[in-house]
Amino acid sequence: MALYFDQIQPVPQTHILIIGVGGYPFLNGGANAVPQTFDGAQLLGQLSSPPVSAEAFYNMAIALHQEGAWIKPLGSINVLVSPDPSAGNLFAGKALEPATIANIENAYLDWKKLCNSDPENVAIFFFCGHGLDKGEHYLLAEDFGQRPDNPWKGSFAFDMTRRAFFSCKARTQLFFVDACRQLTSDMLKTDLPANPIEPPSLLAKDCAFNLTQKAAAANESAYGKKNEVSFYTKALIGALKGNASNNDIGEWRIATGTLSYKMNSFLQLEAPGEGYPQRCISTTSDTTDIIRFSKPPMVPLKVSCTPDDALAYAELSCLDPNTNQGERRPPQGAPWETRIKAGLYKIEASFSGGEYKSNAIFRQVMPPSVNQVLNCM
Amino acid sequence: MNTSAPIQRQGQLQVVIDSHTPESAIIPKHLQIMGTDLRVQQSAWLNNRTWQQDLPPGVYMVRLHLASGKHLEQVVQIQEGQASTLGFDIGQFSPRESQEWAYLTKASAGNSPESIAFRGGGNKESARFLNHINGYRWQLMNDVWTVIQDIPINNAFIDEYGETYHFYVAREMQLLEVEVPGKASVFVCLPPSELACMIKIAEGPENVVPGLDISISTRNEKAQVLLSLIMSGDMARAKTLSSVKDAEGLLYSKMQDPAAAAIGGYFLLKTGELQKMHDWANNLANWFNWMPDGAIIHAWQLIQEGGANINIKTIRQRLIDAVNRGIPIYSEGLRLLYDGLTMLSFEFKRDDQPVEAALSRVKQYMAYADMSQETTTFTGAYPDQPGGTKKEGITGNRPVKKIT
Repeated sequence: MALYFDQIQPVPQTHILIIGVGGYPFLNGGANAVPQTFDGAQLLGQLSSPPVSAEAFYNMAIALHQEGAWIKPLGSINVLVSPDPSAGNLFAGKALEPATIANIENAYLDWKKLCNSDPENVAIFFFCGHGLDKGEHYLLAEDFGQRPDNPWKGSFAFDMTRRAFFSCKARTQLFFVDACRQLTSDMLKTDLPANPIEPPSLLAKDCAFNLTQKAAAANESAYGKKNEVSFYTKALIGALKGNASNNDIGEWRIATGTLSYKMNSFLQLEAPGEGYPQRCISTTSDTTDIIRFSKPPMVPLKVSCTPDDALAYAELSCLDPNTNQGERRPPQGAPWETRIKAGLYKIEASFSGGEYKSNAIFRQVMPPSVNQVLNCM
Repeated sequence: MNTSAPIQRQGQLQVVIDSHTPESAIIPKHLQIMGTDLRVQQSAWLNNRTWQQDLPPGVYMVRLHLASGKHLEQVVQIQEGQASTLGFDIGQFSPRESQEWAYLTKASAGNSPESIAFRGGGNKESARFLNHINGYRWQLMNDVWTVIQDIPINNAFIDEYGETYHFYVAREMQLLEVEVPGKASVFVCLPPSELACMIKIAEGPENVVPGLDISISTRNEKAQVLLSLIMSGDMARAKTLSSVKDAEGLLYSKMQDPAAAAIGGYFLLKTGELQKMHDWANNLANWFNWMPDGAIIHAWQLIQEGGANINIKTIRQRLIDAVNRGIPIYSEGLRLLYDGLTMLSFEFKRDDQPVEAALSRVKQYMAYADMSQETTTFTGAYPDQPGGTKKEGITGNRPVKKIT
């Protein structure tokens, strides 16, 4: 078990399993590449993004722990990662345990056992790597393709596995799958195996709070840039670090339902230049809060003026419109960059000498950031 | 001497909703009024054009949410003794009057081609379209799929703006087929009701052959909004729109609107309020024996109730019945059908042939279904042949082997 974080205690906690598979040694470009007979295996190669995405997800979980933001405190993080051949130094100082199918099965069962210790636990599963889908989503372990005559040995049926996990007592279960869901012509002609990590059971009732989210719709792909965190994982991390938070009930919290219905909008923000709107698909039941911030999120705010020259004369302010309390900046030549707590503000540029036209607007300041240009012409 | 602070008079907030059509006013919309700390101070569901509320003086953020996931927000300053009016133009989300219902209630409808958020051709030079589109209606009766050629979609031109059609669907298992030359047809399940159907090119990059978006809605606006919210996962908002009692009511009122009853059933399954389902899911399954969704909901009520005396025999029969009745109207039903049959397959160690036959059939639909759509949508050659394209012309009768 690659237990990168261990503060396991007999109280309700959050337990996370992270799997990032970028190195597929038996596929194209792999260290032990073998000729493949199945077209899905022939098309696939090495991935640079998943190990980086897995590390980013891990770092996010730790950062939230350090902030005390997990409602159920962080108890454990298990990590399996298979870097691709071009990968840099990941998880510095930690021994990497590869995401072979055997390791995935063992890690899953160990993680489930931890989650099963208390119904108030929160179980979180994160996978980033190759995936194929023919109604059932198959996630590919590092050793996929080792046996070209039986490539599915290095994979597991995710949907069946997820259904099986309902036998875990933890009432809150979150599954995030950042993988493609392509369907190949060989798959159409083949009866694919029923190979979950554990078999689903009729006796297992759905958990009270389920969020199972896939980064791509069926027959579609998940995207990312080489050696960078994938678009979906970036969007997910941003959401968990505050973009999905709201203060509706007087506390800044993140709910599983918000992660579901807002994720596509977060995803589109991550890849605005991409023509194709990657669509993530969620399955949910009832909603619950999993993260609570003790203070409102601090939001990067940039205020500038049109024309730029006005900045040298503008007194800029960002004030609570009801109390007139907030921040001010005297005239300077450059845009004002600051961080303020999330909320509703009156952002104003005023000119005591009348050099330009004063202007004020009301603006909601929310994560990830706000850029306000005031027209002072 | 009176030292108490002077009592502040309240002001009034008036909200006016503008839309292309008056009918859009009755589509439920969620209004939230927040203070400067963005805490929700008041919220309400609006199903008419205007709303008003007295508020203490101050600055507020007013946010209007639509079931499609879109929202509008404005800031208002309420002054003592004065009324302030905010107008929300929800018509901006739809390029046409006839399509407003889809853009306001369906997340899958995406963005209007006139919106800056639209991803696609979006301009005359690169607008994408498909020509020679035809539509057919299929009906499953006595285990035979028959085509009814009464849909007014003939040799149609469909672009990113799309077209809207209206037709009535009786209480039968029916599908709409939208036939696209050279491609697999798109099949959509039709709930029994007066329906509005919008067909348009899906958002996507310019250099990719476009797919179709097909949105379907009944006249039951509240049930439709509830469905959109539960499909998107916005359960917190769904529970404010529809209490468990309301969902119970939808299921109880199955005789008036069996499709809405199914939505109520799916909602109660998600919230785990099984005791509110009483025997109504069983009745929905029995009284509407053409509709797969009732059988699925009842099976899942039994699964979720579970316990030592779990009625596996009835669960099994219900799920096999569901497959014999056709295709679940709602994607949620298709997902539950697949999951339920998968569990049965493992339960019986793949040795129960009818279960394996049912699962095999459902797997074919799952492979080609678009689970982002609310009503079951899949591509294929025929209603009984998901995947692939037609090799011969439309045939009137396609028998389906009953699983026994």
